[in-house]
Amino acid sequence: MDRPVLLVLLLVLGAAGAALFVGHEHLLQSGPLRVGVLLPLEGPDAVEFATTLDWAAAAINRAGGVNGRPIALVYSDTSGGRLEAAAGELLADPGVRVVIGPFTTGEAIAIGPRFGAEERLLVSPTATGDELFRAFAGQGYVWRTCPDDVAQARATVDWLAEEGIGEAALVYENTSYGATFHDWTPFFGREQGVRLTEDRAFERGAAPIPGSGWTTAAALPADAARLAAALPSDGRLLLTDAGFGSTTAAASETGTIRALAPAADPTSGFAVAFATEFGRPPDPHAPQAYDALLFGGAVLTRQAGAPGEPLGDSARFVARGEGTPVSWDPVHAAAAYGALARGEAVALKGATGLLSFDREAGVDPVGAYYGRYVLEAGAFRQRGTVRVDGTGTTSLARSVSGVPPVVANGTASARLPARTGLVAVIAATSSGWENYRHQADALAAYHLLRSNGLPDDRIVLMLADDLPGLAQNPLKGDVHRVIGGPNLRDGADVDLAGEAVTPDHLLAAVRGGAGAESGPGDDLLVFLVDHGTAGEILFPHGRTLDGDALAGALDYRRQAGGFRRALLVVDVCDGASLARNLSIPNVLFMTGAEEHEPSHAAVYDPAIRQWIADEFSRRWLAEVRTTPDRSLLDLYLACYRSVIGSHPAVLNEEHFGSLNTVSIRDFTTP
Amino acid sequence: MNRYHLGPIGLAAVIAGALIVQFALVPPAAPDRPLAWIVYAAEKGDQSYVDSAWTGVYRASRNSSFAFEEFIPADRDRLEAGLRNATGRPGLLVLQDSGAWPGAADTWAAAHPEMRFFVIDGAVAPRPNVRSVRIAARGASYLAGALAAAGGGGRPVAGLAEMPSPVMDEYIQGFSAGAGAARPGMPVAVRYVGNDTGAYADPDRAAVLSKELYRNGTAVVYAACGGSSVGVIEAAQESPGRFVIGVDRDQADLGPTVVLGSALKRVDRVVEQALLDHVNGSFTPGAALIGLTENATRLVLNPRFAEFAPVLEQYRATAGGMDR
Repeated sequence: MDRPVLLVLLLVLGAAGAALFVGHEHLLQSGPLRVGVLLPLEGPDAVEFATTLDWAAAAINRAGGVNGRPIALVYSDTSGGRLEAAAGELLADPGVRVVIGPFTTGEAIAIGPRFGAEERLLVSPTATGDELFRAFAGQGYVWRTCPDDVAQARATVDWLAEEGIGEAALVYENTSYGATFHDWTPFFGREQGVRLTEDRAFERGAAPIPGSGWTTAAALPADAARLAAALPSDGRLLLTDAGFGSTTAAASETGTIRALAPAADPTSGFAVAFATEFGRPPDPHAPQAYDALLFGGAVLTRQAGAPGEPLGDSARFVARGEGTPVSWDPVHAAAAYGALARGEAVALKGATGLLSFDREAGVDPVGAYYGRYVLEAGAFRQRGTVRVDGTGTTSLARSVSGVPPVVANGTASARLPARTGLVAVIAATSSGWENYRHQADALAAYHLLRSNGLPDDRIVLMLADDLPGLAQNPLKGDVHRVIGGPNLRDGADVDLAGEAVTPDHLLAAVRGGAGAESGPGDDLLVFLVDHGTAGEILFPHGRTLDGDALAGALDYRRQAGGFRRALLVVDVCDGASLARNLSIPNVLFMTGAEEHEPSHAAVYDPAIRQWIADEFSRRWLAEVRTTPDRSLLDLYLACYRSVIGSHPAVLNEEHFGSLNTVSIRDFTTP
Repeated sequence: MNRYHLGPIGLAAVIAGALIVQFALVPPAAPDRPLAWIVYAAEKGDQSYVDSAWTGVYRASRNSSFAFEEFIPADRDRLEAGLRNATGRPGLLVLQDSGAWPGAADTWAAAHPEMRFFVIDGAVAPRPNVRSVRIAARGASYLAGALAAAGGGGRPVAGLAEMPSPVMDEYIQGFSAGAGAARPGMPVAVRYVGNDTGAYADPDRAAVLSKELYRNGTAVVYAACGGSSVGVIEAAQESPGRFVIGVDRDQADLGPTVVLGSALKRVDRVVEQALLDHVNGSFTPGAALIGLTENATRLVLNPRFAEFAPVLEQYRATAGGMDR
């Protein structure tokens, strides 16, 4: 072959090869973007999601898709117990990087870790349980476009309060869904002046007969219908979103049955657009479903604008909600996607409002709209929309009600002996990985005293001490209370551990035995943290210690000349119930929760997937460290204002002395 | 040429091939779409006048291709800054006035002759770049009055308007005339939600006023108060035996047992057509008054109260003439 021919042949081959390569790459990048849908499509839990999702996908595609690529929805039905199989199908498809779903919080917790491990995004439009935040805070791969039910608990109480309803019963399904309302309704009721006359769990399918007056019910449709059917003539029912749209339409006169449900932002125009398309108001969860796809598409678009960025980081970028607000409608969403593809930040204004999420932890949107519905003429009619700002406990559940009256100058013993020192009994009376935070709090209190110079032989420390070696602990030997913080187990001398964590041993320590004897000039600190219930502290193996027994042990020690003054700091649910009958001179009881209130967990460490501190203990210890010389009254007020989700209380202060002049230093330093 | 030239020539061939294919696969730049500025009387979510306009925008965007920006009265500064910067791509500005933007249409139309202005229910001087459409309310309100008189069974009726204004006067005058025609001498009370444009979106105040009217014997309230009308409907729901006539869109879904009917104002159709005309290049300056005859307004009965259909039929012809 002569040279010119060879040259031409080479040129043609080279050009053809390059063309094939570029064309192939282009084809790979221009096919549809597959977005998974992991929701129940049939059966009793089925909700009409396909209408909204298909509409959203079509609208986004009409406006140009995701960076020029159309979205193709891949439906995987989770009904009939198919969650794991359906999730597996989507995970097996490498082209599916974003999945809308799943339906419930429990399902999200079950499969979320797999999605995180494979760097796939889950965006649920319906999983509202408080636990979702706990499970996935800070991880970046699990999100929801619906609000945490803490916000709904608040919206429920707000509605009752606005109508001047001063008391109501609460019944709730005995599941994680209902538990959120049990945990939070009392707090908001206390804030808003709505007293709970009953706070009762029921098993699914066995909703109780409601009484007269108002009943708030966290119940699924079948139980909601039972409650409605059994409503007495002077009864009124307020359903949470799970019961909304149920067969409760069988009732009664207008106004006797109401419901709350997450709704669209009324200023978004979503409801109007949906009605224009489909001739009816939006289906339940439609705004949230639309936003889930909108958000997922935005994350995929961000990926185009930030090649190589981990998907979780792209989600966090979109979730910041910064930049020029851009509406959800297809015309503006296309512009938003274009900006994201160029690497710019955009504030997406979805059907549910601004798609902005918890800045530190992600997962939760920072605001939510709830529709207020009243049953009228056989159907729920919307009677307005309310916004709850700052979903999630941090901003929602800080007390704004006034501090209750405190006797600042009690009638304590006229003459106290001179102070000679301090003795402390510190106890976390729970065990097991799920109760990590209790032992962490107790160790933190121990180290506070030690760092203030209190010798170890002046402290009785009671802990199960099982955490360092538990199989669930990825950091063997470590117990910490600050994310990335020091190991509190180091240097802690545990006096009563393992099977010694019993009520009898604690009472013995409080009475003055078990080491750390004290005299009439010594102040006594008793710091207890654990689970509690009405009038009792819980111990392992079903044992309990009631408040009267604790008081008896204290009184024994006092009468034996065992202390000058005593401060009990008790962080348990229903804490104030332990001191109902307390009337011992020179003893002050300080707790993180009033009667009927839970005391909440606080810091969640995603690295070990566990809560590592309790809210009241965290605040109390922080306030003491920050201002070690403050008066007990100031300390109490500071805690009251800073504790989230419950109302700290002081009791027996009328027998204690002057809270204004007695310093916390007396109970934290030798 | 020798073999040492083959390498660079081969590389050049590869690059050329890649560039050719890449260029061929890059889609051509999309031409600029027509631009529209949608200026609402208030925020969306009023379940009335503004939502009707948004319906028209949504339908138009669904059926044709144009870009749009939206503004409410609180966005005035941003809007005017945008107008100043829009010289290269002027577009159509659709202004849903109704008193919410006093003087704005004239000011903007004069300052921006390159732009087109479509003004709904607002006062604006004739210009080559302005089309003004007034949707007459008198005729449909006349029918509302007749319906109220019939539905109230002879008991007093009332009109609750947003604020005293020429626009609202049409509603009240039409309503009073219709009620008087159906029941000569019947008392017709008139109230106003407020004295400024805030009255458009004050359902709480409207509810208070309506409850007072109902307590004092009024049987039917004509809720001619835009976004405040939902307050009247709530008040009717809490007042046994009382009714309401809705406005702007069919509000029967908000109160199926108390809304006798609604005086529709088809702002959605007007807006949709304006946008489609803009996209199609068929904008026509001028002024128009439209109402019942043009199907721009209508009194739609709640099916639950279908027995009053003959009343509407009886007064339809007269009502049509009320709009001129």
